[in-house]
Amino acid sequence: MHPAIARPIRRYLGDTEIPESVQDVLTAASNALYDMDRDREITARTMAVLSSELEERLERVRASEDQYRTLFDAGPNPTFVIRRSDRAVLSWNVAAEKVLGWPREETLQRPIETLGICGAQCGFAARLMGPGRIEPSDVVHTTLTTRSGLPLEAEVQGLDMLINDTAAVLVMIRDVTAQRTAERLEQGTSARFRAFFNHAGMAIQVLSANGTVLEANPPCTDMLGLTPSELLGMQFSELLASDESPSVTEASRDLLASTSRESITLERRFTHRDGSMLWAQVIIARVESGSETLLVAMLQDITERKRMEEQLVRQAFQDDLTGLANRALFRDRLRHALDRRARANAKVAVLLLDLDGFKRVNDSMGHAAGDELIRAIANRILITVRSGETVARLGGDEFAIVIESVAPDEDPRALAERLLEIISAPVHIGERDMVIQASIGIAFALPEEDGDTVLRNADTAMYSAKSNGKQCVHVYHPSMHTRALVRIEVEHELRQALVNNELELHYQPQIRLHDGVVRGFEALLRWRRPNRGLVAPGEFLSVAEETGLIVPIGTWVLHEACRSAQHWPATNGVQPSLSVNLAPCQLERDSLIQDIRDALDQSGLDPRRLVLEITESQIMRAPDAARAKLQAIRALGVRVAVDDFGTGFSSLSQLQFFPVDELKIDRSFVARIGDGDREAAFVRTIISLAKALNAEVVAEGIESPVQSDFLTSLGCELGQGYLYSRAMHVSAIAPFLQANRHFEESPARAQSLVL
Amino acid sequence: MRAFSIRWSEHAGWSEPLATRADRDLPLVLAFGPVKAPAPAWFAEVAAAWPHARVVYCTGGGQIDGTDVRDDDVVLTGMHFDRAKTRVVSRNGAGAVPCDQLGATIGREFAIDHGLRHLLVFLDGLHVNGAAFTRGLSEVLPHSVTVSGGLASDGTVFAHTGVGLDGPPEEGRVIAIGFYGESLAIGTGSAGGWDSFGPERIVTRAEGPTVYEFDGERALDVYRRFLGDLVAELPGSALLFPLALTEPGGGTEIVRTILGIDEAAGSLRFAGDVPQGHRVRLMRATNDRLLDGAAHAARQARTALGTVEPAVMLCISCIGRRAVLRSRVAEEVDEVVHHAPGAVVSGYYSNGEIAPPAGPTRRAALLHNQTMTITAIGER
Repeated sequence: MHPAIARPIRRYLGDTEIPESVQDVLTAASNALYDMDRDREITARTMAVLSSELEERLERVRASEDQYRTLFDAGPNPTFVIRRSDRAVLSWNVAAEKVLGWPREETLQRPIETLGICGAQCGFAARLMGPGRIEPSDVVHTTLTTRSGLPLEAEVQGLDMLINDTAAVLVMIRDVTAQRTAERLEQGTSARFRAFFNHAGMAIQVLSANGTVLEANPPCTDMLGLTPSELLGMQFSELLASDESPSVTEASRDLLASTSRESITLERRFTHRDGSMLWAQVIIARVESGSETLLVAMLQDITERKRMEEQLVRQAFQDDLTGLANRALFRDRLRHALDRRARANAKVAVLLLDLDGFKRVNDSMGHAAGDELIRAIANRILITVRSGETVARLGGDEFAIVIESVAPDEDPRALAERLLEIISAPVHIGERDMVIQASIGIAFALPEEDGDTVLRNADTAMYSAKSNGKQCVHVYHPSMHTRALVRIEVEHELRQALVNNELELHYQPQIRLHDGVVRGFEALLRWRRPNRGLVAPGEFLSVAEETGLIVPIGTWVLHEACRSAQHWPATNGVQPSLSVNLAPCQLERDSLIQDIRDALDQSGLDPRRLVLEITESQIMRAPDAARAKLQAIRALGVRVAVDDFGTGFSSLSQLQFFPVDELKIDRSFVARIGDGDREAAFVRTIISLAKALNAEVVAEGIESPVQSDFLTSLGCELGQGYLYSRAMHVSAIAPFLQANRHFEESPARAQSLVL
Repeated sequence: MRAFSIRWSEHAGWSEPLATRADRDLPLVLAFGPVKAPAPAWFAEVAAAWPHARVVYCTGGGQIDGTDVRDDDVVLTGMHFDRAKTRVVSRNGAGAVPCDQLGATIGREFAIDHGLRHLLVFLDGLHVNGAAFTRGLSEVLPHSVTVSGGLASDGTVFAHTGVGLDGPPEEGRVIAIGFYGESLAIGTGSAGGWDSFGPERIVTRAEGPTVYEFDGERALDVYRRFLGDLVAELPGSALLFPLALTEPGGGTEIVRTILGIDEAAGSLRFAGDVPQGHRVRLMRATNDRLLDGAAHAARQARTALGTVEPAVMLCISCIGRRAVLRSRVAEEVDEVVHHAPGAVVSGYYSNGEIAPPAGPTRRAALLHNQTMTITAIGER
């Protein structure tokens, strides 16, 4: 039992028996008291330990105070502490005793003014101890008087401090008497240099060996947008753009260490105070000044020059019109991609995209519209490819894309198809919605293939796509290369053909079916190709159309045919008609009507003899424009024929609005005459349609009397084909007509006339 | 919801015939008992009485049963819910997987469950980094899920602790019980009652939870000075002076309990990391402040339930509090019973408590030391 309980029990109850229930309570209370005792012991010990710990800490503080006292006294400059409230001296170090002549014991607790070291008012004390905190940069330049009356030129600096909650000022004095005297002697010379320095036409800074700015002239502060007080004391490296400073610091260090070099010249970027960057050429020179080594930095602003250089570089690699990479940059990127491929084992693909019929846009709508279209297409390509893939405009309407790393599950064909789809959406230019299509060639870089080869292969694939009907994607295969070479050869020789008069016209007669009389001739183009003989247009027309050669060829055909027809003899007083085919792009040209007029004027051909043939699909490509052109042609007195009729899917209802004089039934329908009722019905429909349109019908490709008889029975007026004659050289026309005249007298024999 | 508590001890057997409590449908039993666990036959007997219940065994440094704190008894708390559901997951926490990752793994396992409201976790008290585990767990759980629980303990021996599922406790094991359903009402409360005193000391050498030096002096020597003749009772007596820990540059104060000492190295091992460079102060508590803390925790947990009456007040109190309260330890449990008169009050003395920190805003659960942490469970 705890004594505090046991004692009162003994005293008040003696040996009296305590009931068990009370006994339990007493035991619990006793336990609690024991716990409290233990608690108290712990608390007491805790206090004792804490108190000795604190004593120890206090001792350490005292020891460190002594250390500071030693430091304070060891300082070479006079240093003392003054209480702010009454300016009484609280501390006075050994240097103060020596320099100012006052022993510590005589200064302590005395107001500083009473020492008379700077007159009765003690100017520096008044300056330093005014209201407000002392700025670390505040330095008072003053002349003090020592106890023995000697003048002492000094720089005085103060530092606010709290000593035992008392506001005080630590005053540090630097004796500059010797330094000032030397400066005054030097001043005469330095004033002249100062004038030069300030008015030099170049930014100049004097730096300490560690790069601190010691001096800077006004051009320098102007250039950097800093005030002199801001600039002085800064590190030279702080003036530079942050990524430039290490290189300059290193170069300066090298210069300082060098025994042979006295200056270095660098071009570096600096930061203007307003945050902008400026380029400067910096010449840093090492200068020995007395015992110390200084650096002089001369800066010339070359921002404008650099800007122009950058502009030139940009221009050299950028397509002006679209802002895309140009061919040079494209080749560079492709080369890098191929280099990387070797390292990263990636697959590189090049897509080459060429717009179909862009030249037509340029010709018909002008270059401004063409440029706008190119820009629009460039944007569409950019938003379709992955970011990071290089898109370039190689020139004209040709774009290229490098896929630097084709993923295993990725097919560039999918991207190409997407591009075709996006490009073919209407583009709104000026007031018009235009539809342009593209052809794309893809080439994968094979190991060891260089950029030029890959690009050439993509080009080959692209041409293959174009010749396959355009608006499609072809992936390069070596066999294409051979085909492309053939095409290039054809194009080259076709140009020569125009110059060398290798093109000729042959003429196929058109016969009146019911009596076999020649109605006229259709002019057909042939190429007498060197070493190849006579070549039919199927082998070269597509090349001529792609390359635009079709225009001069078409014009030549028109003129040559008209000129030739003018010399044909008349039969029975009737001059044979002349049918000439117009190529699609001829119809679209604004100059067509003038060309026809010129051909007629120059040949003297009667316009009524001329029939211009246009295919059905040509008309349907742009019905409104075609109708206007056809009307203009007819206004000249020239007749219009629709060629290859039945193959162009034109709707009959549309056709009635076209000014058409002749319909030519395509040879494919004529060839099938006799095959069945369906073909017969079709030919019959065409003929009755022509009647309804008040047009004549010419059947092409008649090869047998059966076909001829059938057509005649349906009321078809005219026909041409091997049954009557192949196309003939111009020299054969007169004899042919001569012979025909004989047969006119006995029409039954006309059908056996085969040349 | 219904709950009951029943007791068993080696020498006195069951506090009432086990058959009277037998229940085929009972889903969950929490068993807090001594480190020397009953024989396997005992677990078989328990399983026979509650064939469908998951029985979670956690070792304690004293078990709480109503107003009593018992050292040799296993205190079992059975819980039966009207609508709510529970799910128990048990994992080895002493393996190669870092404890924060283990916490996150278990958290994710529960986070995908629909209707999860609360996670009650019991961790081995010596081989699992409870702070890291709790951090990992909290990071992956939705904010709507609260977490509470505690670390197993063996009193002041600091030798073996463990938890077990449907069997004896195992070292290094962690068990998490998920509580599901809108009908549940679960609230937590956590409070200490300790005050820091004396000068600030800098932790000048430490590795993880082990501190070697304060201010360049061997950590154990600092404690010896304050303990005096209580040195003989080390490591238990070190519980009298937990550590208040502040991050460099200020921040909240965290309390760390001592879990062991190393005489040779002169080091102290705490129940959580004490990083080098942190500032620490020693802490002391008076009995009254600790008892106030327990009452405060009970009020917090009770208030969080609103109008729902708690069926269980699960008390997890730090072994360090028991070392201070000694003979008055039952008084802190009295405070809990006083605040929830109808509830089953059970629990144990732990090596660490897990709960969200007290405060006006709901925050993720942390590992605490030296607190009374209460989880109040009821059903609407």
